[in-house]
Amino acid sequence: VPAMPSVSSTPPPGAPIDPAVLGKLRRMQSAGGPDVVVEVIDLFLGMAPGRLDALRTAAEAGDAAELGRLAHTLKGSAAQVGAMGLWRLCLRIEEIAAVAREPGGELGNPASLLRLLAAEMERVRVALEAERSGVAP
Amino acid sequence: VKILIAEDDPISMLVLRRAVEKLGHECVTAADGTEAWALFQETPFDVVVSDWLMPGIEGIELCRRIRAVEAGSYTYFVFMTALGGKQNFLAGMRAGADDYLSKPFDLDELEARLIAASRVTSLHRKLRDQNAELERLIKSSFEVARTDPLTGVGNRLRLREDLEAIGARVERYGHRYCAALCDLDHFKKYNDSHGHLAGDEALRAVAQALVAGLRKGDAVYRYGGEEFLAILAEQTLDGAGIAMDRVRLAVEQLAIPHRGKTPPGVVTMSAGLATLDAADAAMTDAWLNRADEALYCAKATGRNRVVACDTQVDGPPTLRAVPPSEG
Repeated sequence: VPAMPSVSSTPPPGAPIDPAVLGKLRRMQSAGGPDVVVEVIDLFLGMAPGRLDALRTAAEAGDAAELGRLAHTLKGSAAQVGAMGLWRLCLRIEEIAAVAREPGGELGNPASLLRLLAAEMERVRVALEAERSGVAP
Repeated sequence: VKILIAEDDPISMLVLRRAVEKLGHECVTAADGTEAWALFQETPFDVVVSDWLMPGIEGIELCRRIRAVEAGSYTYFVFMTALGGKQNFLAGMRAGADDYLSKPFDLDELEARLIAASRVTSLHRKLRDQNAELERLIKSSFEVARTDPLTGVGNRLRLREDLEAIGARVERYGHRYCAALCDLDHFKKYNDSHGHLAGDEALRAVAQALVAGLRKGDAVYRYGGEEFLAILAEQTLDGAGIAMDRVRLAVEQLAIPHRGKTPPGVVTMSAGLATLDAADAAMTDAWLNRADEALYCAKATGRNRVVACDTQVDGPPTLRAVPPSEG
């Protein structure tokens, strides 16, 4: 079993997007088909604000189950676009939510983590938009 | 191959869909496990690629359900696990999955799974077809072994098996059966004067007349060279006598010329009837012997007739001629 990436609640150093993952996406490009990288970036950025809002709402409501589920889904999306810093923050939220769901567990205040998540999402957005204008026709 | 993708994250779904298309396959997508299950029940898929955690039916449950219903065809099931979520994949394999794929996957990893999938599903298909063919062959050799090749009616093997079942039914449920032993009159002379090929034709025609003249629940067997045995279900001796005399008349009315007897005439048939009662259910041999005695009597008293053997509660069985039907 490969080692799990280390988990940290501070913004990761380095690029917000792993170019190797975007390289994997590019290989899925069919001749004559829609630009896969542009499609994925547009879908990701289109959904990002709604997903952040939903995470905040769940955190404010103290709904650990919903918070965990939303973080898990966003984590999957982050992995697909190579946003590894975002992926780590999602994992962290997912873990906090899992602990809170155990007997006697409490959600506490994930607000600071969500602020980090929003900041990282902004870095990802900038990077993906740059990527998009680079590859767009 | 036909692929079903179950994935609740639209981004993972888009990536997967584009990858599958790039590899030249068709895919159908479901936004969660419940939708995937509904789609699968409508039409089976060769490959299912499913996320682990989904609202509604989760991946592991989807896998279990698919494994529980598939018959004949095989579905290659691939789990998608989140990066770092590999602790789940063994549970998935134990639930019936064939492989797993970690997000973010690359094209080669997906292609490797689809190559394995098409190998496994085509092997299963081949196996299923071979099994069906084998089953068909077994069924047809079972039939062939129990059928008289000349006339198409049952042979002695089928009779022996049926007699066991009949004895048991009479004993247990009080069902009633009549046996009619039938013999073509002067058949040796027919063969001598018309040849064996014509003899075969005559046997076939008489067998057909027997089958056509009796009811659906009755059975006809080739008992010997020119002998047939009919077993009539749920008939009184009188009822069976009427039915058998109709068949006797039908054979006469086939009007197959018979030059070998004096004076020349047509092919006819004699029959002896006996009932099988609960009292001697275990003794089907004795039953057939009584029918044989009645047949002998029909031969001795002029042929082209039916004689019934009446068993009484006390006293020996008596033989009586069945009145001929109106022609």
